[in-house]
Amino acid sequence: MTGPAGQPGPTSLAAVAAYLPETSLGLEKAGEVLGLTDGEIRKYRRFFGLDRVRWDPAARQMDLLVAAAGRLAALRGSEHRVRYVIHARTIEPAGPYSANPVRQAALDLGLEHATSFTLSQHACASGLLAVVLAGRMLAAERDQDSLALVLTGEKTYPHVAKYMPPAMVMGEAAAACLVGRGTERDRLLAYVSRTYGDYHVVTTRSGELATRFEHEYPQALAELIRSAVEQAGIGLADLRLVLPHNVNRISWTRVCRLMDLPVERIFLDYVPVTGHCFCADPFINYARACELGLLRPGDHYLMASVGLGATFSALVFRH
Amino acid sequence: MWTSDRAAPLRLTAIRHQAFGINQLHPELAEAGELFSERCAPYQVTVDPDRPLPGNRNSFSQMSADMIELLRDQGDPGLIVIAHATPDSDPSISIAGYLQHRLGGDPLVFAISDQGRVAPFTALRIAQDWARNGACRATAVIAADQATLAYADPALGHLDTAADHAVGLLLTTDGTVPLLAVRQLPATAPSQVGAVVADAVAEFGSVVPLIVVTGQAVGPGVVPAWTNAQARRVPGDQHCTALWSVVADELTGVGQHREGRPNLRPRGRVLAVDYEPALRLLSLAVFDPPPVVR
Repeated sequence: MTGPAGQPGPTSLAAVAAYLPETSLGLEKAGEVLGLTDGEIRKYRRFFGLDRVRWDPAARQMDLLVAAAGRLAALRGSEHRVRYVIHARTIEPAGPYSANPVRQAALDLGLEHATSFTLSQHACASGLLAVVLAGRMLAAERDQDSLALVLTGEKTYPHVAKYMPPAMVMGEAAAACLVGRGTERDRLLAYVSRTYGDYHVVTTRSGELATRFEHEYPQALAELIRSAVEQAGIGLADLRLVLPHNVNRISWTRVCRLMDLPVERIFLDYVPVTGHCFCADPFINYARACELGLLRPGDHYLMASVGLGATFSALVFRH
Repeated sequence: MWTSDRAAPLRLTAIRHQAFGINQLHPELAEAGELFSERCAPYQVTVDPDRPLPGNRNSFSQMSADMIELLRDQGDPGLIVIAHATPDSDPSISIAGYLQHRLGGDPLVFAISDQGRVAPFTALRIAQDWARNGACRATAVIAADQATLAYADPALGHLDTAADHAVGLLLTTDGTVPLLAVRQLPATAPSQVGAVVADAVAEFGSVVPLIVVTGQAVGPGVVPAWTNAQARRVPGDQHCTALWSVVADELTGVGQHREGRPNLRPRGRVLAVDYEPALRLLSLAVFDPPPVVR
């Protein structure tokens, strides 16, 4: 099941910014929109560590992306260096054909000269792939000061609940990540991705396949993380922080038990705050971890996401 | 300013255009109406979730898998990039998961979109960039159009509703047809397209015979009369596969792939050019087959 990740090259994160919408809804209110039962809400809060979500009801898809990129101080004055704008999306259709939110966001940000496109089919793990892809594309540029802007975050609609397994609730936080080459800070050391094709029907929420996926999930994620740190040439003990997808707390508790990794090293602060924000989770967690001073220069950290379909992905960085 | 040339390291090994009729499985696609109804509402596009779906109900998952089956006897791709402009008919199926499930192996699969007609060019650039550090020796680029849409979109009203289309390109490090260049020119105004294409024709057609395949949005008459280049137009009822279906014809000669035999019988150097007005993005690719020894 090993994906052909190969060596990523000296890709680095030049800057990361997060946008957390101001509207904070409790599970009860979010549950009305998403069709959750009272029993599910109680279970989500008690067992999964979920509590609230952040939504931006007035925003369209493009607005979420612009809001995140607008918080990237490093982008201002460097727009001319941006060659690519990539929106990593969990659910590919964002609106009618002509809506093209990534293109509209690029224009709004003064990036008309950049090539913009949407990257999909790794579901919530598409954001991690986007960083790697951006690095590969930048490596071919003559100007090695070129940058790529990776945007993540999506609108939550009622039907989205049908595309997500139970035990998570979706949020609308977004992130913007400037990817560059060759800087010393936040250098990408490893990328591992594995797709388990048995689970290609993403709307399977019950039955034998759903049960098997739930059973295999912790072991698969633990193995992926071990592979990623091995590819990076470090050990689990060298990981200062894991920046996860914010699906729920209990799944990470199970994964940590399999790896003998202290759950305190998994950044779960946002699970009860934002909900699961599609591809944006690892990046909004990174931004918050930096605000809290949890990463020191030289620390190793890992971003992990699992996308329905099912693709498990991890990136290892040195801060 | 053109993007950097993506000239190496992959070469074309096979190319195939396939039309897909009615999907005999006739998937229900019950979620499509609701999904698009909610997503189109913020843009004041009304979608009736109960409207019967038109078209043949072919998904990009199935179309891509079928294309890979047609191409893989000449190389098993480690990377598969799907380039599409229309939405998938069935977003409930992960293309990556489906291809791994049906084809086996461990290919890295992803899709690019929101590039209109020129998505396949970006996919070709990505294929070259990914291969550059030796990550894989064979890559497939699949351009796909499908017309089962949950709403009527004027921008897609030209789509062939009788058939869906896919064009698959298999690129390997030892393919027979070098990809001389893959370039994209952002921020190109419509008024500039003709002149830029003429320059490209002069650059690539000055010493060898050139076949120029131009997309619908490039416009007619862009091949200068003083050149010996032959112009080819593309069908009007396909979108991002239109140009590539003609490129496939030019590079295969007979237009059919026979299992076990070489697929490529090119008639000459092929310059493929397309333009996406919504993005102001001009794209070109040059396939440079070796001269035929008679």
